Amino acid sequence: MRSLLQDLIASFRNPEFWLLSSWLDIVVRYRQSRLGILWLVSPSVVYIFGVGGLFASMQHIRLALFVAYVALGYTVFRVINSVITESANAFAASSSFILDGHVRLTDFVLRVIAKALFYFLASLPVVAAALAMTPELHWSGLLLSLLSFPLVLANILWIGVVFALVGARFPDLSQFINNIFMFVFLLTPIIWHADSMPAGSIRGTVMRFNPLFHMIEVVRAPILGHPVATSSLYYLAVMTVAGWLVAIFAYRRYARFVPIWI
Amino acid sequence: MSVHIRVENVSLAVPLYVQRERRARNWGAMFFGAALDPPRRVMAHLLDGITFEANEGDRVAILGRNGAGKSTLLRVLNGVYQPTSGRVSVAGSCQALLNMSLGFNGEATVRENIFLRGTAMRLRASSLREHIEPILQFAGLQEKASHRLRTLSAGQKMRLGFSISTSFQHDIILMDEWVGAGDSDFMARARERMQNRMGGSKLVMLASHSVGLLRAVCNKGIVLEQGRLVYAGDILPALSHYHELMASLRSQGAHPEGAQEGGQLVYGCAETIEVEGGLVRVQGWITSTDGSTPQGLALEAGGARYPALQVSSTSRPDVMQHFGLRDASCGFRAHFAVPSVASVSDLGTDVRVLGGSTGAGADTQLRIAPAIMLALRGA
Repeated sequence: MRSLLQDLIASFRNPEFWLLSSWLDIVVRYRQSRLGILWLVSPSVVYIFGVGGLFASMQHIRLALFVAYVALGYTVFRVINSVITESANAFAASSSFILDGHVRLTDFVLRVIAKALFYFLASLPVVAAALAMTPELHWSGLLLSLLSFPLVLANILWIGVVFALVGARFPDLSQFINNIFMFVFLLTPIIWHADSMPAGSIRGTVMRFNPLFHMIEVVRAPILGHPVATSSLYYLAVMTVAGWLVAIFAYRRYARFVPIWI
Repeated sequence: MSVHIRVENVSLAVPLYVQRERRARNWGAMFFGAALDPPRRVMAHLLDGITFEANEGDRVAILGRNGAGKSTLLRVLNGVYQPTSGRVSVAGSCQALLNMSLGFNGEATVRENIFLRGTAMRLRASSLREHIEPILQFAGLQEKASHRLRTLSAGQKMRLGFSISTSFQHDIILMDEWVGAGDSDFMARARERMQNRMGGSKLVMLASHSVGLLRAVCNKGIVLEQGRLVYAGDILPALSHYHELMASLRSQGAHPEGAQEGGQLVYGCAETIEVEGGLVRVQGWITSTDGSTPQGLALEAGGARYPALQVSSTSRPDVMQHFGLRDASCGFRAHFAVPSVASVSDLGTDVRVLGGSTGAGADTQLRIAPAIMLALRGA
């Protein structure tokens, strides 16, 4: 029996392997190009200013108002997105390490999360540029967001563990997720305002059912000076507790099968 | 605390997914069957009720056909697979040398990969730093340290993997087959290091098809067949159990499966070479891992290959006893017609004696006794 919490603590105490391997994965990707690490920020620029600009003009919103909204939504979404898609494949991608006797599986989940967080950090300058443009920036809200971001991280951790386990058992999961994430991106209020979906309507209910909406909202709303809905906080609190219970149970029950599955 | 491995009644069952067996009548049926038939789940018992014990000082040979569960057992001992039932206790630091050329990042440099593999083996980066140069040196890759790993040849990667995996001494070594390819210079160094590591470690478990190697290295042996333990004990009875098992499988006609697919290894030794009446006469012994005596022999000298004119088998109880064979008739006396050879030294020094199940298929080089090497050099 492997315990998720024990393994996580051990992984945090010995971070050298997963930090190094995720760092190598990142730097290696940019070695072939002359622009090198500058490429890191290009997706953020394209999405925030390109797609954000396009949708601002389509919805007749001033770019300066809209771009901060897109920037915050997109960067948080990207963290969650890359953790889910990559963790579904995390164990299979590391099978040579696992089959060689490195069986602390949390290392491989943390490797995925470390990579996602690194990309998050790399996109922060672009977010800062977007925030500088907006007249709505609330410094006190920034502090509040710094408090709610760890809540998002706590959820990302259990999501990574669960998707990694399910993805090890069903190798087609990662492909499936890749396919539907474009839809999830459009479904989540990132390039459109959540207010345009009233609470009573079907679309509004679907949107409020979407966990990604709440994870993004608790970080995005305070910075832009909106109050965080208490329903979002409840939703996230329940999701955190339930998710961690599922992750702990699944890890205890299924971690030992992972070397056999991959 | 003493170093030991204890395995009590260990079983491992894993689910396998197989496609439903069905006779496709035509191409179309096969086409749709492949897409639509759901896979069926069957439990495969890879290990079944295995119990044995190895203590400090033991060198344990793991014998068995391909697919008998040798590698699976090593992975259970390594903690990768957790047994479905039973208990495994391994006391002492453990290093598995199972697949040494995997676990790299192809785009990262050789030096970065040493850190990567090292930390994956739970080593501290601080203690790794002073090992980088020796590792590179042993692999012969000092000039390649900042090259991308992708640009290395397969042999170089293997050398690097071996060099990293073996640069630290552990109490227990788990090994699956002896190190494979490499140029002769590296192989000599690799062999020396392995002997050092095995000498320095307190417990070795070695799975191999090479009976000669196992006989030379191990003092204990366990025999596996279809996941079950056939025998556990001293090396000699283990080898004879193994040969008996192979012989009984052969008599059931089961040998094409498992034994033949690279599993059947020929080994032997040429002990004397004489030139007599225009013919070269070679004496020695030959056997194979499935316990049968191969009949094919060939001699290579000066780049030309000469099949044996005549092979007669001789009785070699000493060889039989040494390897625990079932059959004493593993000795051979073979004559080869090599033109214009008057004495042994005329053959030159690059003489090879090859063995195999048929004369034409004889491709395994037999060991050549040191006395012959001296005679070939004309000493």
